[in-house]
Amino acid sequence: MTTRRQFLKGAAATAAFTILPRHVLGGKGYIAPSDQLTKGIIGFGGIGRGHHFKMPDRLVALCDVDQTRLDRGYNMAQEAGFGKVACYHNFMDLIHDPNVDIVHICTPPHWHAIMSIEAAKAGKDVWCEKPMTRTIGEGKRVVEAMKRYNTIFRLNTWFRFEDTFYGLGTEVAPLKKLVDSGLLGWPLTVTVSKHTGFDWKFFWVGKEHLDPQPIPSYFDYDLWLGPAPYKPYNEHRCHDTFRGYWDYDAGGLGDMGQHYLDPVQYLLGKDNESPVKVEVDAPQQHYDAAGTWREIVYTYADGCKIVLWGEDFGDPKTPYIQGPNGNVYNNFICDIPGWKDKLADFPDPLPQETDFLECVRTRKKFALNEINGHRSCTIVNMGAVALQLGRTLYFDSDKQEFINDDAANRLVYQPMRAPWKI
Amino acid sequence: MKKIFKSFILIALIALSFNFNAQAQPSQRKVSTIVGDALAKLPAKDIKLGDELAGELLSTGKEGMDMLYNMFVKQDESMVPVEFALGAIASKATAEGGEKLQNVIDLYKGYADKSADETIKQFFVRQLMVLGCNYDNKNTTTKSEYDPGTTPATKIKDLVKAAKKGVDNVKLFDMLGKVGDVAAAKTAIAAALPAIKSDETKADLLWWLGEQKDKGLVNTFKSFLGSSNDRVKSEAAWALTKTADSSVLPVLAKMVASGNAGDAALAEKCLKCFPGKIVDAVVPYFENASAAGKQTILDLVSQRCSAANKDLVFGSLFDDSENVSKAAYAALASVAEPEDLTTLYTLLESSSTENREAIQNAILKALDGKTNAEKYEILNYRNNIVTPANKVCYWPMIIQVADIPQTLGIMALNKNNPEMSTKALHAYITKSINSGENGVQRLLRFREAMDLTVNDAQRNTLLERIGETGAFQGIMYAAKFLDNKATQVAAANAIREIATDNPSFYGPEIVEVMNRIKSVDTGRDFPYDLQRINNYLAAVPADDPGYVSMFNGKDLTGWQGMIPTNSNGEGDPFLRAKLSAKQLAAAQAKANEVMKENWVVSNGNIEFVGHAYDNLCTTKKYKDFEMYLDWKIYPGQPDGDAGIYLRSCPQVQIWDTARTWVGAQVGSGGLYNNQKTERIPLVIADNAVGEWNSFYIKMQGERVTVYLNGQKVVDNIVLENYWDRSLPIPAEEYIELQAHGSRIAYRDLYIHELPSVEPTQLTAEEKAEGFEMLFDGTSLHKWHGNKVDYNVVNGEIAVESRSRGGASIGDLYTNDEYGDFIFRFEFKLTPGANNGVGVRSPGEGDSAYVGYEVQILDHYNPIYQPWLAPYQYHGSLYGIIPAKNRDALKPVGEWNSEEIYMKGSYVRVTVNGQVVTEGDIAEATKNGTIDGNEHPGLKRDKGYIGFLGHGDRLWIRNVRVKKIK
Repeated sequence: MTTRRQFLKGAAATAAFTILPRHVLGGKGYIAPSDQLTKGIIGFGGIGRGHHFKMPDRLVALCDVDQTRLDRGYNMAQEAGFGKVACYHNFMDLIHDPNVDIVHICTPPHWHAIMSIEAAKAGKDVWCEKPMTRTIGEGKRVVEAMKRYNTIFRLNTWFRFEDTFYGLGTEVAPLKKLVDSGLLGWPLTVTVSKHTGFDWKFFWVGKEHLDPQPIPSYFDYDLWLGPAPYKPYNEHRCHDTFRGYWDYDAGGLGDMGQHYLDPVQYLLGKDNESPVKVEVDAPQQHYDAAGTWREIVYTYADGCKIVLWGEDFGDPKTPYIQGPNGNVYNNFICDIPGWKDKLADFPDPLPQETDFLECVRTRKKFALNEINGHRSCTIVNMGAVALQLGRTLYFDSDKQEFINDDAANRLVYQPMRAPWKI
Repeated sequence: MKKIFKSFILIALIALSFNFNAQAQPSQRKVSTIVGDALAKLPAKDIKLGDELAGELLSTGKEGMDMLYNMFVKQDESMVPVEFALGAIASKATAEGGEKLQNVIDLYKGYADKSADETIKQFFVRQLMVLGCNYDNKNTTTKSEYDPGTTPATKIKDLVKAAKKGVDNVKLFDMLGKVGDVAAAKTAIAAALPAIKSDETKADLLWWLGEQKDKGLVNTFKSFLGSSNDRVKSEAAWALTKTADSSVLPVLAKMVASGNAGDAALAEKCLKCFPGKIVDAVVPYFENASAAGKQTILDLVSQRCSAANKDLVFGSLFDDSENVSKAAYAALASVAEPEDLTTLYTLLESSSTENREAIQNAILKALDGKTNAEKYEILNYRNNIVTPANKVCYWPMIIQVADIPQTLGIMALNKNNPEMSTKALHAYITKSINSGENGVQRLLRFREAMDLTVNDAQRNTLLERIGETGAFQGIMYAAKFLDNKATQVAAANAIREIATDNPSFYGPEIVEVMNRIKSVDTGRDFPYDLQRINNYLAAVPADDPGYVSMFNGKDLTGWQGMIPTNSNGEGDPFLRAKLSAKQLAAAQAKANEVMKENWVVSNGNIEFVGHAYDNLCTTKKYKDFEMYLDWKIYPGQPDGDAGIYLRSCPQVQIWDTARTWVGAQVGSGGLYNNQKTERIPLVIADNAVGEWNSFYIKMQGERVTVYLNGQKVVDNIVLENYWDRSLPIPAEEYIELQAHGSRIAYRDLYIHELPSVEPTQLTAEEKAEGFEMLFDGTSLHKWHGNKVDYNVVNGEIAVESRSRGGASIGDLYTNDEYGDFIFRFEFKLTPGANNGVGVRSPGEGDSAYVGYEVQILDHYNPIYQPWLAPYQYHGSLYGIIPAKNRDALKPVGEWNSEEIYMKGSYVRVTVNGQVVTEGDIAEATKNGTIDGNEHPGLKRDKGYIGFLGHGDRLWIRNVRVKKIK
């Protein structure tokens, strides 16, 4: 299989003398392989609209099952000067478009696994929005497939390597240095709540009762649902409000979970393991509409805990990180006297691979890839399962299955609506 | 409280209060009751309750589940609790397993089979999935096809061969990913590395080897440090770093000292990530290192905060190389200790401007561990003893550690140094914003700073920030800056931002200002700004003047002296009303004379400067309103005290919180003179004496809400009638600024009159018959009990909704007791709403048993079918006499009228003109009550009338009563 991927690698290495003018290589509309990588975006909702202009790779294809959104995307691409942009209704067509190097998945989460795997099979690299997958089982499949097809995969949240991390008022790196130094002691408890600068966005709740509505003519609802169970159409299920339904996402936890928890996993050094226990304090959850919760507590095998508080639950004075020997509060305030001096002789965290396009070229794993991304998404999905079943669950971090709970494991491996499967 | 699901709730309540064994009861309940009880509490508020209810529902077996299924298929919105019930059963069944699980699977399969509706079918398919039954076997869960373990492992031989021959990195990484025996691969690759021609491949393989973090490969990696290819060299250095082997340190240290800038930079990056004593490894090279090397070593000393090497840093400050000197200054802040302070002070005062910041950082570092207040004191002391020219060295540090008022003080002290003044101003703004102060408080802060500004740039900065406060008074304040050309754009922006973000801020002055700023060109976005202004103006209601100013800034137009009605100088409006017109005119003239002595307009404020107790009183009377005003107690008075009288009644309290001997530590804003209702503010929100404070006061009916400095201090509390506590507060009276002997200033008074409710009147007929109004839309004055959830809104008693399944809320009772009576009222229900009229009630306990209860219930709601007992329908005398007419209630959302007639043991309930219940209590209970429960209330012949809350939302109005003989 010779792909654009391989061709580009060669082109980049010898770029100094092989770049030819586009018109020499192909006819009208032909996109020449050059040192510029190309991408196709699947799903032109809020995320698709927001991300594509920022990137140095070039947009060559768009896909949406809503014709109005596809049209809008095309127009925006034209305004931004992308020139020829192919528009597809079915994502499989975009994935198999030979001009596309990178598949950028901006759909609701119930599609992420299928699309990532299909893209990998087609020899494409993947940029996938968070949350990575809707179930733990789907995440395992993605990990396996990325390995098998040697795919460069980026799960898109970024706080573990750049940007001010919400209420901490700092990037994660200096926090990581402090945690790694051991000054705080071990095990640590990290509390992620409004009080520590993290809002769980409980406006992402579904409606418990939806009356069926006629499907708009411009909208392919069947393909939008894809692997999700068929439920009669109501506009609240789709587009800007889908996060409120378990079939497609997991409410505020699904939306913000990986943003907030992936850096925690990185801080605690848990990129290759999962918590062994999850406890929830929440009102009973509806089978379809995701609701709110008060508390979710995760415990790792070594005693480290991640505590999530919804809304205003919990003591506002709680530190962000609690350790036996010291605490870290909002705005990176540490209560260990002279902690900055005490950090002398401790190394900075190792640099991370944070240039996705460079990773595509060099084939090194991106800093947040399918493996650690799947682990942090597992934290989110463990919470979602415990919420739905309304009970404390124990988890086998190696097998990545719940222990002695068949029902919980059915939510790990949820069936897909035929003909979809992974 | 309604008694539909009474058994369970009653048990739960008893269990709570008397620690009864509630668990014994459920088994005695009928299935329909268990289901009904559960539905009333679903969705469960927490997991424990959910688990309990699920267990009970599961125990009902087929009968309960069939009942739920039959309700569910109606697919009405009110069936949501049924979905929760069926879901809870499934979840519980998976936890229990065994026969119960199989039973649920079989039943749910049956339901799925017979459900044609897609929503219902999908509901059961989903439940069956959780239960472990793949109902729709088209759906798939397959074993992974992608498990890389199933593909053949790369042969290491092939990998090495390919690498030597030349292979693109896609292929290479693909092969590396499939290496089965990593240990063998490591050895083979390490051995083959020298023979690999392509530097790209070599670098990729070094990276892969580095990821293995193998100390055994240190020598291999070292051998590539000398590579002429930068990528190979870099991968080798990083691979070495990842091994964290101590033998690597001297190697990297040597690279630092090598004199090769590229090598030094690479080694520096690696060393920063290297665990261990890197400083000790590099410092020996310092002496003989190149300038670049010295710089790197200083950077590393700085990164590891190595105070042990601070002599190196201090010694390099004056190095010949500018870069080394710079690095030394940068490192100062990492190594400085308290003992270095004197040196640092001297250094600072003699240093060039460009190095000042580094030294200041070092001083602050040396002060680490002290509180900001201590640092402020130390630095301020130093600042006081240095020469005036050197003060400039200290201000930036002092600004950093000062609190908000201190920062403002620094701004004031630097009026002659615009640069420092601006620095202080920016810090002041940042500190106010970062400390999370709300918009109202920030506006007060920014206005204070505005008085100290020294140029228009500063004023514009403040105006821009004022635009972000969203504070009402910011609009007219910013308008003062429209006349100056240099500030008018910022002023216009601020005005527009506040007004357009808050469409409820309107009034003649604001509209005028908004029209005025239409002609201020705000630059690039002007057309959009104009559009927003026009949108705002178009949305201003035509029939409501909105906020009007109560004070023109010049004189006391609109105000008059308060007429005292007793020797204490108090102004009782009820006594005042008894004065003849002539008496009133004379008293007013006298009061106005006294006012002139004590109240003045000064600095654009209304100020009380007297010593007496004569309030300043509006010339206009107000009913319902909301108002803004600012106030300030002048400092230096022992008894700072004032207040705002509403409808001529005291008062929204203002006092100096230092006066703990009178209880002022609770803060200002409370309804101080209340006795029965809350008088203490919710929070202490006062600013210091001498600073301005901002009130928002809303009065609707008899209730008052107060915000002080943007924080709610009074939440919809009844203001008692101070003059006669047996009566509600007057519907209309003056607003008064209290004089309490201390100097006080007021500014920016704006009032918005709100539509007020006209009291409902008895009909002429009822009046003639001798009915009494118990609730006329304005006040719950004739009631006691729960006045929090029974709230007067728009002339109606709005019963607040509590979360479904929550405990009952408290009840609302009449003040008087009634034996034989006619009770009339109107009510409006929400779907499924449940309440009740308690009669002959003792005023506490469960009226249905300890008194009587006439049921209020939306019994049409399908949630109550099919098991509602006859004595539970609307209008029933609960548990005693069932309603015989079940059709008299109007549909949900429409008003109903009801009359309860009770005389002796005769009772009659009439709903919307139709008699629904009629009977004789003695007759009905001669063989016991039909609900089979004890009703001790049967013995009562009089008591309170009350509304019995069950946490459901409904509305009540026009309540009247007549005692009969």
